[in-house]
Amino acid sequence: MDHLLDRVRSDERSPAAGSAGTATAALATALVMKAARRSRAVWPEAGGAIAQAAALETRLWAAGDELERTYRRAVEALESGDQEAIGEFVPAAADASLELARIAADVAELAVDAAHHCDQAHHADVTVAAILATAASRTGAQLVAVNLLSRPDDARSSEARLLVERAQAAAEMLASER
Amino acid sequence: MAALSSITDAGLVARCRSGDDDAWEELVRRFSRYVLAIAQQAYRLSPADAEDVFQDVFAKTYERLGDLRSDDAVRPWIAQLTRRLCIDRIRAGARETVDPDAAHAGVDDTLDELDEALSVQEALESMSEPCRDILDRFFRRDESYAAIGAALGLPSGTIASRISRCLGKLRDLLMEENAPLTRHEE
Repeated sequence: MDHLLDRVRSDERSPAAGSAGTATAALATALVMKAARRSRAVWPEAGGAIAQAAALETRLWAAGDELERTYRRAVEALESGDQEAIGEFVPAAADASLELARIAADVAELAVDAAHHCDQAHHADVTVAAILATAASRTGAQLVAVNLLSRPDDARSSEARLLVERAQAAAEMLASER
Repeated sequence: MAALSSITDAGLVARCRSGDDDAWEELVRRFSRYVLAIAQQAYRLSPADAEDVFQDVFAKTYERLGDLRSDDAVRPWIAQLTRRLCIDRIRAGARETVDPDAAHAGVDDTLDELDEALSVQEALESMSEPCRDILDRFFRRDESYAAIGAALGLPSGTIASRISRCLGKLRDLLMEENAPLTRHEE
């Protein structure tokens, strides 16, 4: 975490917002794993939730790397005015951002499943996991919108909005349970 | 009669011994990726050398299956045969220049991983189609809950629970590994 913070607060162009969103969602998966690991006595399928959280975390870091890579290429393309590169890399950055939104929405749904089965002493942990995942999903959706400014009707924008709504609904449901 | 793909290793060996050609085909199909993985991942043989080892392994399996003491032990027997033939190929120089001692480094760990992967694959194949499908979609194809839900006609919010249940069944199957292998229908 210290390493990531050092890199984000540096004067380099990246890592930036995409990595911040990725790390936020990864923290959410860690909270789900903690709740599941500490609930094995009351939740026979806790191992399944741990495995899913681990898989989602792996996907998150891969998506974060892709997001930063495409972001750098998109900015370079925009700065150079190379229309061909802009046409290639700006939509690619939108795709990578959408992937972050998708995975984060799944983390929020996994948090709901965990909340309903785990030791209730950890309900707050998984509720916060859903809140963090919602923030990450919103981050992804925001970056989709930024990268698709010239295409407001693009299907990726509407999918991103739906993903945020899913994550938000999960977080609000869990928050209302306590 | 049970489909060949669903019978145990021991049952398959028994049918091979009785001269069932289809059983031989199934035995090669079942262990082909395992043999190639040992040759290429554990011993780092080139694709051409791995293919030669593959041919040797199954030719010798055909000749010597009668020597197998326990039909349940066909997998470790094929693994041992493959290891020996890989080492022979390395020592012979073959088409690839590899130091035989260096080639042993990490072999046991790789073989353990391959055995584990094969066990998981076998357990997956013995699961019901819905479980196999949902695990495949999530863990291998990296599909999202929403995509899985849409494909299977299920609410997205139920997918995580279903995956956990199926993983629980998979774990149970793997824990039964030392018991006589039977293919499960759920």
